[in-house]
Amino acid sequence: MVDGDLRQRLVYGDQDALTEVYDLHSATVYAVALSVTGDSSVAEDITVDAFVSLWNRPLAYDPAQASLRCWLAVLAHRLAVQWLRHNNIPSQRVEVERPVALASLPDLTRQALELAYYQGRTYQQIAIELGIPAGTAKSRLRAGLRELAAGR
Amino acid sequence: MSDHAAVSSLLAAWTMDACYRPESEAVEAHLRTCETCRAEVRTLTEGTQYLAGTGSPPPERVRDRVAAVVGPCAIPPYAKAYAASVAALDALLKELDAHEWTGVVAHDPWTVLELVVHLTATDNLVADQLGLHVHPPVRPGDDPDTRTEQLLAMPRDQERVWQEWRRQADAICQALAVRSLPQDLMLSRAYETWIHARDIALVTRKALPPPPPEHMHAIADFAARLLPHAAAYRRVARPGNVVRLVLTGPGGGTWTLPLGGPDLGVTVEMTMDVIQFCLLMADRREPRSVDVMIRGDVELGYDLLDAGPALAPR
Repeated sequence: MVDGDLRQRLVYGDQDALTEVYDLHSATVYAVALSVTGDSSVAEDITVDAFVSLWNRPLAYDPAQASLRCWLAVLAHRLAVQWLRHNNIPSQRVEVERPVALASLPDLTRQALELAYYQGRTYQQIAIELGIPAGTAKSRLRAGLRELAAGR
Repeated sequence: MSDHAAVSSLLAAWTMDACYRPESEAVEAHLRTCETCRAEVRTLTEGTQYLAGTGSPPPERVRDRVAAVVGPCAIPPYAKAYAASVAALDALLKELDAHEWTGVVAHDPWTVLELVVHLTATDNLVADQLGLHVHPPVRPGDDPDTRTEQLLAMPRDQERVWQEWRRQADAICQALAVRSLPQDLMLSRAYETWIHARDIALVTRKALPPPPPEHMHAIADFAARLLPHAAAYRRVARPGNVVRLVLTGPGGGTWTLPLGGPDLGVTVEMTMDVIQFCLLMADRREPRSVDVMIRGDVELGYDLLDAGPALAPR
């Protein structure tokens, strides 16, 4: 399995493995960072941080829990959301087109995912903004991710 | 919050970092022991990849920045396995919490911390040969055991022990770019460092992958060439006998090993997994519990298996 092999090589300090992982997944990582932060320079920094993080702690990635691409995307997402919460949203925000899969979700689900994933809101904030109970916010997020995973 | 139902309703939000710190910590703690929730997280994480989107890759300068972090390291080929084992042990140590450093390793009555001291002590002798500064100075006649004893008697703290081990290993690699040492010395260091990393992984219940094929092969080659010496040490080699050792799996290979005396041709062939063989030679496997196929002189084959661990250091 490619992800397992790459991780094995990273664990044993193989520098070529890092550049291979970069070449495979940098577009994804950058896309996540850019769509959340709306700032290309910040997105570049986050991209560097994500791959350096993997190089510094290769055993923090568990191939049984996620593909390497997913894991890196989640890592980039966390870094991006953290940046968003500690910085003012730039007025010149780069708008990134939303993936097709999002459009096929029911409106209420899509709305919750948009706020959580791309706007860095917590479920509590989403509940307040949409005027729904916290539990409903949580379950819409859950339904959304599960539907996406099921490939709908 | 340790309520399973409460945590499981949070998992999707957690996957997208859409909850507050105390809730995240509760989820992370819960995930360590709940396979149901871990399975749910696997599904939810898969879902997020469809939100990631695809766009144009980042500018080339980002790749350069990532490559710069790794840094150059011109290690001669015979020392690459050592550098790799060091990287793996370091990666493993990064995943340990303070309590795990006190775990006692199965093979020796040493804690993880003491094992790292032991590796430092044995590496001290290599560093000394390379003309690197070693503290305290190496005494004439020092061997891995005496040196380990000396270092273990000194006060130590976990952070400094780890840093010292890693700093010295890096210094050894750098020095090897300009000075050379016997190949087998560095291979034995690669072997021992990997074996002890594995010992630590076992006691801390972390999954450590085996060395990639290129390094596994280098270590296996060293271990294979040890076999005739182990046989001689245990006096089980019969002059003229030659063993063909077939090691299977990534990094495996075939070795034809004369056991001394006039060459009468291959008299015994032994086939086993490459990792199992390396563990046997390192005294991490009971000879009679190894899955092996022996053809030819079966009795000699079993004698060789029994003799295998004879030269293993601690």
